[in-house]
Amino acid sequence: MNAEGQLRSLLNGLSQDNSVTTFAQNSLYTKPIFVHFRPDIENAFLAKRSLEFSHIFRIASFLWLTLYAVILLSTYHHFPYIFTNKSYIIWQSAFLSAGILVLGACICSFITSTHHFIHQYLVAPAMTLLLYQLLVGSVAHADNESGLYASYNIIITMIIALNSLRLLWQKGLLILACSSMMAYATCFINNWNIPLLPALHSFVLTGIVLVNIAFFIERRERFGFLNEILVEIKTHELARINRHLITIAREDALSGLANRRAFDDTLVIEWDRARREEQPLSLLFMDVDHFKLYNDTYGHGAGDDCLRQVATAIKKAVLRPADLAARYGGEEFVVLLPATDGHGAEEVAERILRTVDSLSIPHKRSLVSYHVTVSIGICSMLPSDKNNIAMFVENADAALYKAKTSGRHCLKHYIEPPALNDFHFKH
Amino acid sequence: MFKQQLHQGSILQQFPYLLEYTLESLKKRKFILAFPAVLEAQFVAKRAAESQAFINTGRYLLILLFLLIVTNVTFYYDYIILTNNYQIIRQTYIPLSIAITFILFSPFIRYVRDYFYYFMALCAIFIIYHILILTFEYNGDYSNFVVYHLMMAIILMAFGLRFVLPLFVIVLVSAASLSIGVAEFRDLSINYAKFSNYYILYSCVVIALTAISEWHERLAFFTKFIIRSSIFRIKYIK
Repeated sequence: MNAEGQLRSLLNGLSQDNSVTTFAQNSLYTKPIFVHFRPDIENAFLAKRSLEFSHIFRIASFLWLTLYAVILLSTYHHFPYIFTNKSYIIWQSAFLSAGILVLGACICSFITSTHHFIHQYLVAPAMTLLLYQLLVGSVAHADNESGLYASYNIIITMIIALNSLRLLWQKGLLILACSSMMAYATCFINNWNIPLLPALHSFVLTGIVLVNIAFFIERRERFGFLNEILVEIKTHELARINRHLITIAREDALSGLANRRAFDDTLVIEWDRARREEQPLSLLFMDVDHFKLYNDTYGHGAGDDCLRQVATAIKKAVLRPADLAARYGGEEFVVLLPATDGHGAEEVAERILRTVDSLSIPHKRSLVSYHVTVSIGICSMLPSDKNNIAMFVENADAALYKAKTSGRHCLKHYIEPPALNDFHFKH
Repeated sequence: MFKQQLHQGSILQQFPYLLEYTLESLKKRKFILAFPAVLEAQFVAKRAAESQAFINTGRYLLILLFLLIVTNVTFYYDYIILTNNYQIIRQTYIPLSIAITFILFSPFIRYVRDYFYYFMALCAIFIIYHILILTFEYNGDYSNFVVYHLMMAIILMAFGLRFVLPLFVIVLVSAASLSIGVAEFRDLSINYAKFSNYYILYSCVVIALTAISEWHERLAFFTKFIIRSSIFRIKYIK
């Protein structure tokens, strides 16, 4: 997984954890001076910083190369003796190591897989080394202009180290502390006098200011990161609410089948598809036989329960994922069968009749059976310019009427499919 | 660059196209994130508020820093202080201290808060101009000493006052032009070799860093904008 994917998965993980929301909201509300993250959030924050480093690394490395070239040329122009006189070995080594670092950075910026390692393990030691060399150079040649020139470069290097490399401020502080201690030790061993005032102003005071700035920038970024986590959480919440809303909008609360709206929408889509692909489309229109009598006898509660069981039976009998079973209204149900001709629709209708029968829901006032039964009208069409959706539904309804007038508990086609007799269910 | 305006109520209701623009920009991570005027004004207002928070937090630390610098000047360069009946104090340090005091305490004044960058840009130009003139006017150690403070002032302006990039460039260029103009008028000699290092090169580095930092902030601003709109939508749905 790449760094971006890793960060995304870390953020996803955090967005699933409810305690993260509380933590983020509390921190954003209280805005503490020192923003301490829990280890999981801290890991994600470090991953984000590493990724940001990777994003800016390529352009930054070429900026550093330009800066290095400018400083090199300017030094050569003003102090050519630095490059020829052996007593300026510290300067020469500083230029050499800075050159190697900048060139290495430019090359590595093209190898994305190295970015994380460089940010994690190489940047801080490299900057410490460079700063150490500049500090030693400024002290060793404090008596002339080149020492002053070194101190300008010290400030520029400190700014780059603390404010552009996406390091934590503590790491920046560590770079300053380590390089200054190493430089102090070198000066002590060589008996070099450290010029107090320039050192105080060019390094100590500037260092304090820069560490403070790095601290405040990081603090602001930490709050920004908490906001980012909250975005993830809110996005998930929105997606969940949307899914729930879609379910509510498209599902019939009583039967659990698709509702009329979902059926109407799907019918338009399937009709167009069938027309495009020149495929037949079938519709089963069904009605629970003598349902009014059932309601009057057993009450509305039992009626609802009966509809629920019939709906479950229909769902069970409709096997293909592309088929849609829906409650059309009252005790009427429909099943939309894409890419199905009259024979196929008949098979499904038979299965529904059988499944509903197998429920054996008692219905003592039914005029066709001792249990609840359904009648089914079938309409199959090849959508074209000569027909339309309204006609399709009306024909299915007419077929249902035909089934009802034929004694109910049966299925009827609007137009009989060739070479197949009417299927009349035998009691 | 200057206009700061915090919108009351939902900005999305007033400018519904902004969400699409925000999502698009976040997705593409454009290198130059130019905001529409309404968002830019919000962004500037946010930066002004953050800058004021930075000033409020670091006010006494900055006063301490200034006093330390003045003390060092008094002790190590007393011969400069005493010249011409404290001329440098009258002409430079008192105006500088007034400008710095104004920056540090102005967040208490509502009018300044509302037009923060109009005042701060002028103050910044004023401060840089005075320090630059000092570097032109004096030679040797004192000049070098002042250069450190110039560098410190520039970095504090970039990350403390939080000018947006174009304004920051304008401040630096204006201050430099003004100083050079005055220096030429007063026949002060300018060491351009040094100047190109401590001012031009250094400013370029700080500008580059400011640009990178601002780019990240603009992305973060988008994120915050999305969270606000998400919360608004969730509340609306609920």
